[in-house]
Amino acid sequence: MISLVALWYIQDLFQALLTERFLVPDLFLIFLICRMTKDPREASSVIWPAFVGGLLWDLRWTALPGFTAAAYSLVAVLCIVAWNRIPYPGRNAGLFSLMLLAAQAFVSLARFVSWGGIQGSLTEAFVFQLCAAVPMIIVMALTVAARMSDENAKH
Amino acid sequence: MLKGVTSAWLHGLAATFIGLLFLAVSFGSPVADRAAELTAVILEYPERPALWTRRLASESVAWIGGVRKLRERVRSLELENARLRATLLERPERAISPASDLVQAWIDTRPPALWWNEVRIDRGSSDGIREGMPALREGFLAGRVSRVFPGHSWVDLLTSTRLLVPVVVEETRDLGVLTGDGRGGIRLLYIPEEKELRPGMRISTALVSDILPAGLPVGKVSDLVPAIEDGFRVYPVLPGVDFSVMDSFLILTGGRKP
Repeated sequence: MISLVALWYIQDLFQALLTERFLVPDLFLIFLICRMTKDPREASSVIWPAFVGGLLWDLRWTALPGFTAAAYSLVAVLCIVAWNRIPYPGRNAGLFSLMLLAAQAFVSLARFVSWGGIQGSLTEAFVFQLCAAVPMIIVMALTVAARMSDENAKH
Repeated sequence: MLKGVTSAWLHGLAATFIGLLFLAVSFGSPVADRAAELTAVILEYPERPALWTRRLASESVAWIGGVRKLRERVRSLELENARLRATLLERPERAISPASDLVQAWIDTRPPALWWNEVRIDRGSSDGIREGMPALREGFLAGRVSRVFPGHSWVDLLTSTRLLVPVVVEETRDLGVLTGDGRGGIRLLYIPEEKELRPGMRISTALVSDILPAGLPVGKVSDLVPAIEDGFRVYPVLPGVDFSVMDSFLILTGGRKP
């Protein structure tokens, strides 16, 4: 719980720092998706925090209450279902990174489409948001890889 | 695993549906506005480190800009000052009250969904800010204060469709009304069809109220072809402010000379 609040706060701080210039990546969502890999069957412990975090984000930054909440919830459930459908031996850090990148791209695209499409400076903001998400995605993918390696060792 | 997936779908779709329901009922609702205000107020203190860092970075960049740039700016302001003094001698009614002051306000929120409409600033009624006060940027009018709270306020930008500003074309003294198109553009309305303005003509605020003084520069007539609507020409305007790059305003408090 504390880690979720901390991640949301960090994302909020970055947005306050970069407001007017860039959109920060959805660090909170990326972290939540990473948490999902601990126990993919515990959907409610990922989806509802995603909803609440998204709603707070809307109230603070987007002026469209419910938009980010819906996008986060949908992305969270899609990731849970997708991750559950991958057989255990096939799960790896590369696949997880791709899933995180797709999740970030989906949320960004939904946001930009709601503002009237990706053109001009919005394209730069979109590309920046995706690129800025990459370091966090790499860290999360390495975390998941380490966790899976530990689990394999135990079994 | 199947049970887990089914449960995920149920939770996920329920949360998505509730989110979309919120979106449908809250858009433009005063309750949502209040909730957003409350969230901003609660987060005001935790976000301060970011705002301080932003200011520090902005001021450092300005400082690194160098003395040469500042000298050029001082020279240009001296020239402008001399020109304005001369204008004031001719038109004393344009003088701004000595009680007027400029309060620097930093933009702390710019909701993307209302990008061209409004921004939130970190100054409020406790700093002397009142509704209707002009917000200036680099000497040009950028917008007007629309809502005031004790510690912060909202500023309607010139690019907003909600803001209507009476203006005058300096060279011809034609009066018109300036409004935004909500997409980053500004238009000058109500110029009679028979009047033809030239690109580059300067536009400034007209004398209409004590709180918005006359003579504040706004921008220039664009070289784009004007449209004709209901017997009036609608001129696109080149604003003096770059609305894509703004981090602060100067709020002109006080009023016109009595």
